[in-house]
Amino acid sequence: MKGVHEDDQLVPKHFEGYIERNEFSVAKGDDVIGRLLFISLEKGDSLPDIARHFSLGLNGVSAINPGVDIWVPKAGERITLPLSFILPDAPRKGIVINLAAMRLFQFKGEGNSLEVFTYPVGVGTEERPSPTGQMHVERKVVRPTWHVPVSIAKDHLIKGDLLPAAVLPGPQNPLGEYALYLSKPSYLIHGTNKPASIGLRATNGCIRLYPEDIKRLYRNTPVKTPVYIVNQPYLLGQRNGLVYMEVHAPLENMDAAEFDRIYAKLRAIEKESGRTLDWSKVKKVLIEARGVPVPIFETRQGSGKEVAEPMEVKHPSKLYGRPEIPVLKTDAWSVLAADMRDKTDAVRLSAIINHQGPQIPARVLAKNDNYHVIAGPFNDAKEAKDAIKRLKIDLEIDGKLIEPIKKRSLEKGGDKR
Amino acid sequence: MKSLLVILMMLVLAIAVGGCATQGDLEKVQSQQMLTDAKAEQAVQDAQTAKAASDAAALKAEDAATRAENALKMAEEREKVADEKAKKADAIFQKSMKK
Repeated sequence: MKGVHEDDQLVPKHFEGYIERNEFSVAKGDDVIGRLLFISLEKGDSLPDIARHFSLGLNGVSAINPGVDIWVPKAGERITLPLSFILPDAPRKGIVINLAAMRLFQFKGEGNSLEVFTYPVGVGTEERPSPTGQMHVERKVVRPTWHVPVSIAKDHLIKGDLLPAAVLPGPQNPLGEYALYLSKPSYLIHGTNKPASIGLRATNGCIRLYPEDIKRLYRNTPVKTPVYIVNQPYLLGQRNGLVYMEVHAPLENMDAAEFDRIYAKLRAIEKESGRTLDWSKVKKVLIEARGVPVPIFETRQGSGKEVAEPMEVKHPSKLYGRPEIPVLKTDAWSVLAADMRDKTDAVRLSAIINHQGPQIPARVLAKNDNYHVIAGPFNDAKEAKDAIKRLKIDLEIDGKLIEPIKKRSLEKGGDKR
Repeated sequence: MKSLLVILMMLVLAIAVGGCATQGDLEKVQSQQMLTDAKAEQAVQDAQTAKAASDAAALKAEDAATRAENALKMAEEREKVADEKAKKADAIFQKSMKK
């Protein structure tokens, strides 16, 4: 397996040692790549920040760490980073996207020199699901313009948000900086201005990547690259004489055929080996749906010892892509987003506001027995009012405008002395 | 005749002596009876006091158990509310991540 290419200009410089997150070699006959990691959380961490730093989706980190608060996890809590994957049951060439796993795999080379680059993605919602099937990259565009589909414009209008016919490149553009237009009309693989949405079903059918990931994918993907989009919540794979099973919570539009397919495969494994599978273990993996490969069967005696044990990883001093919170100035405009009694609720809301795309900076200030969630600072009243509008439309929050404490009035007070 | 008188006198003496012993015994028995009664009464009182104390302790224990149960219920309720609030916040967040 390969480590991180430190000389690669496109790789963000946030890796600790040789942690494999995006790039893996695939040994012939293997279907499982990577290994699980452990990390101890620090005060102020949130799962979306941890997920982005390790190039994981929020779905993956949440599924393997049930019960951990996404926004306000406990400091010192040890969580698992699911950096191990079973390759989807699809041709190993071009791009393969597994919607259920919310992960994209890009294959390079073949046979013994097969390499796979993998990135977490955001996919379509239940109402507007991503398509499945075979297609290809039709064209590539840097700094794309988003031509707003009528259906989306209507959705926004209902919420009181009037979208323009086209959104030019920039922080407001949801396509981000790079786009791969697919041969299936209206569907793209693109970046995002909402990085916290990676690992969520939040798009209108397109495939979203972190800004740093789309940059690499864009560079490594020529036009005409085949793209296979599959929806496989149940995955089976082999590595070092072990059969692994990986289960993701199935999407609602899933049919029983997928389950039947995996059941037939399990029966075939039993038949081939002449031994009985531990079906209670299979059932447990199915029920828990943790989204990571779990060894369920030894194809040869003693191969169980070859399971890649999870590794502890040191908490980085800075998490890549974590929203920065500027200092709140009294002479700047700001917005009171909420006044709450519970500190955890306030911290959670503040984190959610910070992870909007584009970011709305927010922090919690203690006020008597309550906690104020203050968004800002904003350069002018218009910017603050825009933030109030976004808070209302996107988060159903009624923000209150806080005017700056005017310097002039302070100075006047000083002159009187 | 003389011997008959002696016998009679001895008999009278014996009766007289015997009559004196019976009176003492009776007084002693009566005194013991009184002591026993007093002790019994004390025992009844003690038992009543003990029962009252035991009843009070039982009530207190029951009260403590009820309070503990209520506290647990309230803690569970708070946890449930916190979970619901977290879920609600998360649902709103997920909605906000759409285009």
